[in-house]
Amino acid sequence: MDTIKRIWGLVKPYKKHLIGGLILQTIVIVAMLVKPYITKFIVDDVITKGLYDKLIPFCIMLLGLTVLTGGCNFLRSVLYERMSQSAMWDLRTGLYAHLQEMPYEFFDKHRVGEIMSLMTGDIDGVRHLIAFGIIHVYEQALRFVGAFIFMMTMSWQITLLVLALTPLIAVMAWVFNKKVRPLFREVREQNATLNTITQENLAGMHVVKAYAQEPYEEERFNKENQKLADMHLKVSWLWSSFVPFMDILGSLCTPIALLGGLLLTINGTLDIGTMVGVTGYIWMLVDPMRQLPNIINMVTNAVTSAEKLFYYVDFGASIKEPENAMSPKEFKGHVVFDHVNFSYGHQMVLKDICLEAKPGETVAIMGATGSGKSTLVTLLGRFYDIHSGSLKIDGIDVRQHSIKPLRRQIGYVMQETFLFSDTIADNIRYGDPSGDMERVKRSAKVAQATEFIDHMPQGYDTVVGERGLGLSGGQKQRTAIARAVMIDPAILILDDSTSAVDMETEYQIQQELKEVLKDRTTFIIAHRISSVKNADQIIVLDNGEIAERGNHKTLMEKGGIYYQMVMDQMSSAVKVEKEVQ
Amino acid sequence: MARVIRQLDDEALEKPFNKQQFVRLLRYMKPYKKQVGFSLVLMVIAMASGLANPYLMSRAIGELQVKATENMPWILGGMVLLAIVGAVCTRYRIRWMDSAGRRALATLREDLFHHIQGMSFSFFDTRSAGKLLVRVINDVNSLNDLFTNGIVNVLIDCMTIVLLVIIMMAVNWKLTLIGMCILPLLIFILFKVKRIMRLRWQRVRVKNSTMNGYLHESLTGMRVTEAFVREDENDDTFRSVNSDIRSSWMKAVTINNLFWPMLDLTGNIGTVLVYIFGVEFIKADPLFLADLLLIIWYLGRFWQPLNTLSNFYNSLLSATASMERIFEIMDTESDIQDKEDAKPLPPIKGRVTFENVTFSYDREKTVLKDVSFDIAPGNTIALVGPTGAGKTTIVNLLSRFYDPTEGSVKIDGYDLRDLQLTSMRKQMSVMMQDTFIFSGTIMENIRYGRLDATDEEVIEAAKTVSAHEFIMNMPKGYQTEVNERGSSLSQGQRQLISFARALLNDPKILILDEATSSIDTRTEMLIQKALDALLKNRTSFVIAHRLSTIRNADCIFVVQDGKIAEKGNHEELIKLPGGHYRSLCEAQYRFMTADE
Repeated sequence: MDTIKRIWGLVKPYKKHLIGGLILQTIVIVAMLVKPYITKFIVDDVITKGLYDKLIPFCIMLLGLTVLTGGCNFLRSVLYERMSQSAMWDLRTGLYAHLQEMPYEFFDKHRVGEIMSLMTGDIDGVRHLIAFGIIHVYEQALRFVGAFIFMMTMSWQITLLVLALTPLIAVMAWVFNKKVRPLFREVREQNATLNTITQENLAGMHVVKAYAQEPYEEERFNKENQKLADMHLKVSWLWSSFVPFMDILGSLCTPIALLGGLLLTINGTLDIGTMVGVTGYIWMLVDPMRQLPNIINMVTNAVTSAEKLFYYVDFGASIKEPENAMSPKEFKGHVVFDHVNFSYGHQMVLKDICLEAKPGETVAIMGATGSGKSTLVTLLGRFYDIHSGSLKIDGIDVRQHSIKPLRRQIGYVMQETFLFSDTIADNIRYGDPSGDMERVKRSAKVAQATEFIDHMPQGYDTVVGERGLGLSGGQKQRTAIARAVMIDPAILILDDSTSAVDMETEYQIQQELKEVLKDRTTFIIAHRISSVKNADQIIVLDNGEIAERGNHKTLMEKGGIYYQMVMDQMSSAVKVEKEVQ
Repeated sequence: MARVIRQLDDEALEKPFNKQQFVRLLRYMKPYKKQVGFSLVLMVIAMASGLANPYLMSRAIGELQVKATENMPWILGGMVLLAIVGAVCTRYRIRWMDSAGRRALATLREDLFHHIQGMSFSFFDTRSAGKLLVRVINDVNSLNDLFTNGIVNVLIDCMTIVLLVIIMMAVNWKLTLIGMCILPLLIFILFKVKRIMRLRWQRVRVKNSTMNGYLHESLTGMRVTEAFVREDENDDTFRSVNSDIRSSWMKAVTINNLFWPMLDLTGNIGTVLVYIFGVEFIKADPLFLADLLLIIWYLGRFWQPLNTLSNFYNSLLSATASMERIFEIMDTESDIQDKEDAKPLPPIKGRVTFENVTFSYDREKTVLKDVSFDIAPGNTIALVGPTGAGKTTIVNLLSRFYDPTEGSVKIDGYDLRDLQLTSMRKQMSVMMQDTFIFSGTIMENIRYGRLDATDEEVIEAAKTVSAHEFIMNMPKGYQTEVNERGSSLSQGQRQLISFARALLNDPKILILDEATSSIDTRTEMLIQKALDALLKNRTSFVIAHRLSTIRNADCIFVVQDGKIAEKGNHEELIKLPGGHYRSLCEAQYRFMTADE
């Protein structure tokens, strides 16, 4: 009930459309009900009784009614379509804006496919209810009642005779609906399975070919393909067992009415015109019965969809703009972690982190996969909230910062590089859409991306991303670095962002960055010693705790984890070095 | 300002009818000739029983008019019987026709998939996986209508129309001709208006898929959006995309909803015409009423076959587009195929010979120039050199993903082009830089290297490449479900799994494109150990990035500008003053140790 009320909330701004549509629909149905009456008069008065001069007026009435029903129906549908489309527009754009406010945690928990199906399938379900559901229920009910009354006035005996048959149709339709729905779902799922298998086969083609596993792949594909055909046939089977017979039940109503008519005409109580008229109503009595299960289905589906949608709407953004949001006049990038704890679900990810990074300093973070390195840097932009302790940027706790200005000061190069299907230039200025080409090129130069961009078919206007030209891992990473440099951030985060770049290029990038971001704070996560050894501070994380800290020199002297890592990585290099000398 | 959305679908939605391809498609129905024939017969019966109904109705009314009763039971009984016969025929027609259509479609899809499996890499280079996926799934699906209903329906509908005209003419030809005045109008609405309708709906679909594409990408990149504070611009874009959908939808729905009233009005004009002129006949003979009603009812049956015909016409256009796309792929011959007299490769030792090999991907730019070498079984070759120098091309030619433009590649003295592809690849393992993980268990992923391997063998292989430990630490060990996306495996772990996969295959020749990505030191050590195990006793070609791998190689090829510039082991090459290899090593060392 609550859900229905909320769906009503979506329709409410378009009340005028709704009411106008209902009025128009009433006119349509009354006109439709009157039509068989005219046929009756034509047959009775004009043909049987010979009042031929009445024919033309009746014909004009018939055409007039047709135009009236057609016109009103058309207007009604346009009103309802506009209403439903607008309500959907509101819902979808609203939800999208809402999703953009969601913390990272939300996207960790909900997969893109899941949100997509919500934004397309479920929204469409609700749209369907708004566009057809309301009016459909009203129309069928009114038609049924109206046809019933009109038929009763013509011949109550025939009406009751026909009425006795209709529940049977409703029951059949109901049973059919119940049985066919799970089958439809199976077909959809099997389609998805086949889709996945094909997609994987194509994506992993080099592995398939490398191991000459084509026969195996074909066997797998054919199995699922046959299964899909079989499922489709199951639906056909069910369909063929029900639908034709529902149709005959409907058409059997006519001979039954005729039988009744026969008995009555013999008694002389029924005009032939009435008989013809009654046959015009039969379908109006039968059709609502056939539609009943569909309507019930549509409403229940729409309500389920709406419940899902509202769940997302209610999923409040846990990270909100603080009430007395502050923003420093000028960001310097002074970062202080003070006994910060952070847990994800029930798992402690960061424990008692204390760390200070002064403007202009470079902090390098090392540690094994899963030790909490990435989490630590995402706290800076308040993509997650810390649980206890405090994290201050330029003296203000991140939870007191106005969110968007804060994030604008952070150039974040993520571990998994994502580029949009857009030109390279627009990708680089993603955080600063109005930035001029001059600056785009300068940022690309810092990231050592100029050379490969110049080699692309359309240079900076080459479309990349999923729907564009594929870039190599290293090229993507360099573009992402340019994107971060472009916003001229106070704090730069490099999360394992040169892993696919060869050492020489990485060295050059570092040199350039040093130049451009002279007094900015830099956080760098890396595995290669060469990437981190020049940092002002190096911290080694182990299981969410800072296991070691210092700079290259002090840590080497200490001879701990860091020292071991350096030794492992240098061993081969040192050997080479000796040989070179 | 809203961002311009890149269009995703640049494919033709419709194509003019192509008879040749249509006939080719029909061949898939051939095995089901009998079923189609039966269905045709059943449909004719169902159609006839449907057409007889108004006739019997009108006779019944005629009987009632004169209050005659003796024929009524027959007429009513006939109506019931016809209804049942019609339903039964329809039932079996749906079953047979659908099963024929679906099976034919499944065969077509199998053939298409089979063909794609046989294609070489140059085919996949020029086509995106997404587009191929659409061929196999959507394009084949879109032929369903044509297969299951389209063709048979058209035959039946043409028959229905002819039959209708004959019956009506027989009853009263004058009135029939009057009533048929509406036909031109009806045809106009059904063919012309429907056409516009269809084009508009197509537009809605295109707009919708644009929105889907945008949304999907936007959700995938939401972290970037939030990090770079682009929410407001994205909101604007999304709003305008949705407004596009709304306005195209309203355009489509407006014409759509005019369709039925127009049809209805046309029908009623026909009815009124028949009444007006029919009255003259009634004046002469009151009993003509039954015939009059008959003509009116039959007139009402005209639109349906015409409607299906127009639907068929429309679906034929889009089916042709799908058909052409499917056949385009099936007509593309793989440029790497077994020769007629290709021999299976006997168990090999692993000698690899390149004889004056020249290669070009596009026949314009030469990637490899006259490369020759001969590698004895069991040796490890490290390929080093700048990106684009031709390292990958050498291994691609060796695994016969491409054929050389000139010269020849031989294994144990056999020219690759004379061998059966499968028999050759079975004795070889190729590992690309980006490891692919299939969705399934870890066990299944490793077993992909050799399908008949036992669980013990799989575990043994995992142990040898030091993957066993981390696998056992996963929630369900070897039975843990993994997949390509959202996988819980780290880069290093994925590599170890692919090593195990290769080891299980126990190839005589191993090709490895070493990953550049840095991996945490612990896993890094594991991988080095695993590599040693993997490379032992095999002829191996490694596109190497690790110094240790390079150092341990029996021979290092420095590839530069499509040629092997230097050849020799580490000790030999490092001594070449001013050599490429020497300067490469120096540079690496400098980055490692450079201070400030």
